[in-house]
Amino acid sequence: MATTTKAAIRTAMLGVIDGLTSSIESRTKFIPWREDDDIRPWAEKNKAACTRRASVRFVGSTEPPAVNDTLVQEVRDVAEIVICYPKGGRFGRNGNHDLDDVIEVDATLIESRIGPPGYATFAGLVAPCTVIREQADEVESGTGCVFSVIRYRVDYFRSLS
Amino acid sequence: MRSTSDIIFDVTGQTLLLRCPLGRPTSATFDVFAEDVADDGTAEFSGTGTVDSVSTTLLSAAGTGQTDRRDLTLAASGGDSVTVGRRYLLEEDGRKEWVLVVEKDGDALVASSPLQNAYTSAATFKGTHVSAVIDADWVADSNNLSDITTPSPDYRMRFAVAVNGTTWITYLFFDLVRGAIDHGVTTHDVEARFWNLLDDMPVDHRSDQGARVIDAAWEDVKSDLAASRINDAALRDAQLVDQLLVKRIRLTFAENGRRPADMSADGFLDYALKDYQRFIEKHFLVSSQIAMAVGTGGSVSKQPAGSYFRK
Repeated sequence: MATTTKAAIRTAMLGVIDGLTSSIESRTKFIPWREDDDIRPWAEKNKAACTRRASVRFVGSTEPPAVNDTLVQEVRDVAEIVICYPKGGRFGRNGNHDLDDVIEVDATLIESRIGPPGYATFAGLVAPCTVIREQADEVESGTGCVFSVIRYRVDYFRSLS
Repeated sequence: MRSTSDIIFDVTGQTLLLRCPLGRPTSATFDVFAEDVADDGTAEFSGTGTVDSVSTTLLSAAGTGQTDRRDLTLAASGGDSVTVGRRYLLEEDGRKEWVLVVEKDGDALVASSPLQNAYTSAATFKGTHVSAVIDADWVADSNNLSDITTPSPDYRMRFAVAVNGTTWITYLFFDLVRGAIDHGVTTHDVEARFWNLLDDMPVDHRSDQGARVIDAAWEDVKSDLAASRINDAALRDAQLVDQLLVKRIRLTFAENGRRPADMSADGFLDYALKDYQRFIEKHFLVSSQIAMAVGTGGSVSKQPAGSYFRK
């Protein structure tokens, strides 16, 4: 039974996001957040630098294993992807509407590579894991920034050795 | 923005560059006068300016609606004479904006910030700069060297520019100096004191690691020194000049809301401003007026009543 870890899945997700090129403002790349602070307060302090800064973390609790033996167990976690955008007219003259469009395009792009539609490619990056979107995408409004939050349920086998 | 230039003594081939805000000039002449000579007096030297040769159209649509609003591609070979770091006028049917070119690959250009309008391939892309060459004999004459004990420039270049069917008269100002003090700061020097700055650089300043931010801060430093009657060309301590600039750059970022963790934007701006101002006061404006002992014998060296540059 092939096993994997949260770290390997997180690294794979960040690697995919790091390589994405959006169809809007394509020169502004996704940049993995360095995780030396929570991304939201950092973005609020660095609004001009926060565009498409991306964080991937496993949040919340790991559910009890559905399947267990002495060598491996199947676990279920939630990976939270947060992408930052500055408020204001950065994405065009239509202000918030242009911002909404960028968030939608980017979220769709991420879904196509990491979510169920991207299984064929994402599964090749790590040992088999199932990525399912059970929760609605959220757009959190901060003081100077907006955060696109995508949460995936991730099922995988981990080694007990 | 225009700057007072420092022309370097005995170096030939130097030019002053004038950007014409009215559009692309058809021709230009210039005369250089000493500060105390009237415009109808005797010129130090005169000449004909060279108009930027860039005058082309776009190859394809650019701006709003395109994959990236910072991208624009010029018609065949149009990029050959484009200078990175220079502003060009992009115009179509009354829509126009200045494009500061920050990257160039053949005819493919990248603007410093997203274009604000939509343009078709019929849009024009024009250089509006006029360059004026400093006379080779004049620049090598030591009698022409500027008095750099004041920040006021000693020379003015008077331009007569033909543009849009009218004549535009304007000036650029400069000194003739032995050497420009300039600065040696990169963002790394700031980051050593203000962590993660390179990684946190605003998105439009990533491609040059904030070089334009530094250059703008350097202009601010020169203006702040001029307010105290100090000509930057007279400064003879590179370390203190660079440290002053580092503090000014940090102030620029504070003015734009960046601050360390656990500090408010207002609190850090207040700190950065005071720190910058105190540095100028301590190092550039005030010197001790108390007699100071010299050597080991207890004798003193009396100081003048105040420093040359004093409050």
